[in-house]
Amino acid sequence: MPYAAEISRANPSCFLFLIDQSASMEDPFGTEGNTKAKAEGVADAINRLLQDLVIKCAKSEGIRDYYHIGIIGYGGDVGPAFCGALTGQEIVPVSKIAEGPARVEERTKKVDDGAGGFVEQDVKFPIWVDSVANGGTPMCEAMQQAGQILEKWTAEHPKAFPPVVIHITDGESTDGDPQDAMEHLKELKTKDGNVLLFNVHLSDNPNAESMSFPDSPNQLPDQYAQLLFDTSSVLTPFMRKVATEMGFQVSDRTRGFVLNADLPLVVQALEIGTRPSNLR
Amino acid sequence: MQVVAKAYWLPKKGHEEAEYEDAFAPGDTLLDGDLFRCAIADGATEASFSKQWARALVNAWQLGSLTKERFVTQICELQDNWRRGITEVRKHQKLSWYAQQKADLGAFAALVGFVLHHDPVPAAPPADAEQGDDWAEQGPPAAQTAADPEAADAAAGDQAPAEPAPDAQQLGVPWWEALAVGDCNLFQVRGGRLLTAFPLTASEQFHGGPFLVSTRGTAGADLSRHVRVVHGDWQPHDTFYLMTDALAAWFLRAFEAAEQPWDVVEQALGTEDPQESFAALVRGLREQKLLHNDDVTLLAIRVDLSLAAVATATPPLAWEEPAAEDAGDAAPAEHTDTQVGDQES
Repeated sequence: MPYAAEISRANPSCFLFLIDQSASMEDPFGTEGNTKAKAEGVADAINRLLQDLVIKCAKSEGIRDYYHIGIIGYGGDVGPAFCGALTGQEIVPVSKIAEGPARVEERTKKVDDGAGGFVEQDVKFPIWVDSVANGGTPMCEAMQQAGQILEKWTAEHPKAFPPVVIHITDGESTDGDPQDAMEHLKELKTKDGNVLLFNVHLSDNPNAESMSFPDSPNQLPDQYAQLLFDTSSVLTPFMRKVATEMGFQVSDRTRGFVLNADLPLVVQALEIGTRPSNLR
Repeated sequence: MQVVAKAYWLPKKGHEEAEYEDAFAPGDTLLDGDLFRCAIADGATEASFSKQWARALVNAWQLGSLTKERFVTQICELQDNWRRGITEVRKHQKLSWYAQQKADLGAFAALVGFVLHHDPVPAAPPADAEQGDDWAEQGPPAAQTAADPEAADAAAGDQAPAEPAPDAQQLGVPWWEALAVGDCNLFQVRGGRLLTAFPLTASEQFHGGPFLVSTRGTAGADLSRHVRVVHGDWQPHDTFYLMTDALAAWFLRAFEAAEQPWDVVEQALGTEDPQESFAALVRGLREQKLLHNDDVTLLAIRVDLSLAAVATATPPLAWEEPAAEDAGDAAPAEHTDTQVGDQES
């Protein structure tokens, strides 16, 4: 049965994030009243996710390397998007992530005050990825680079739970049709199954209708949405379970695809794609 | 009564012994007395400090500072102790940012606590029972459940403090009681038959996401909804097994396939080196994909009459199964058709 491999230190899995860092990511999310740039929102979401993954892998004696993680940014440049001590690294074990944030910021969050209200609490917020927005949208090159990284990784980890690639973009490719490169990425595999590709499309139009985890292309508005739907993987049973818990309606044909997503939907998609299953 | 209890355990494949996160208490025991308390717990892999929390739970149960009657209240006390301990750790050790945040999320463990009583059930509930916590009282032993489904339904919905099983009270027989949260399981085997499976009664119920006892003190109401209790009678030569989830799931799957997994277990435990035989059994089951790769713990408990009674009335206490005619004599007729699956609350 595919997608059932144990994830352990001896048999880690992999997450690879592909982030659109083109100039249009400087625009705010389409949601009304939101002034936060998409690039900033995505960087926050990725930093938060990395923090959560580190904490999930933390034990009292240290970090267990259940995951290897990479981040490729594409815009003015295409390449690893880590900043700080991890700059230039394509894929690193989660223990390196834990030890190597570029900086730790102090932020506030609202927490339950135990009396029906909320109070602001200072929290530490480690940063591994900065907000970047410049240049075009060289999606083909990004996909090809991801393919090269995962060809090597899957060869080195033939029994692993297959890598999950989460691609976050707000625009169309400016360096050609990325479909072949995306299909190639999905053809890569371990003995436990093919690489899983999520496409998360960001909205910049407050009137755009959002679409979450569709199972058919019937309602798609255009060819571009069709491309993202076609190249998105079908959710694994465990991912479907997580999506159902979050209130999404899913079937066994549901794809890892969201269209015109706001920031909360981005966070949910990241959670569905990266929730640990079968950790040992 | 005489109780012989032995613990067997193995960490996950690929893990060091120091990384084993289950717990059991006591260890190997030979006891001649009126009361025996024991427990096993399964610390959650995804939390940190789970091993320590699992140990705290089983030790408290064994010592009687964690009981069926005041479980939720006493867990709150253990949680207070836990918070003080973590505060001390932070004072004396420089924890990394992730270790601090992980510790804040709490530790979690599944638990099954078990008590053997030699004396017949007292006529009145224990003195502190009226102040006891609410929980879902599991039905009486499976034999009654199978014979009288309506009575079983009524018992399963009973929110009153625990009372002994009606049959035990009426007959004045030795009895046992157990409490569980999560997917550690208790099995009672008598005369080659599975008499009790608690709290889970079917292998499909082991889905990997049970409610667990947490170190975080805000979950008292949730906890009380997830506590399961049960009681029943015991007879000489009964065997009880406390198992963490991976082994318990295999045990029930084998039972559902009309096999007798207790024979497989006893065969391993009956060798000259039972720890190694048990480890070999677990490794073999893992190889055959019949057992999830998880920490495995088995606490095997054999109960018999006291030494004095044994000397005059029965053969000497031994780990071997009783002779066939003994088993037949020991098993009451009403247990013959027991359906373990009927016992779920």
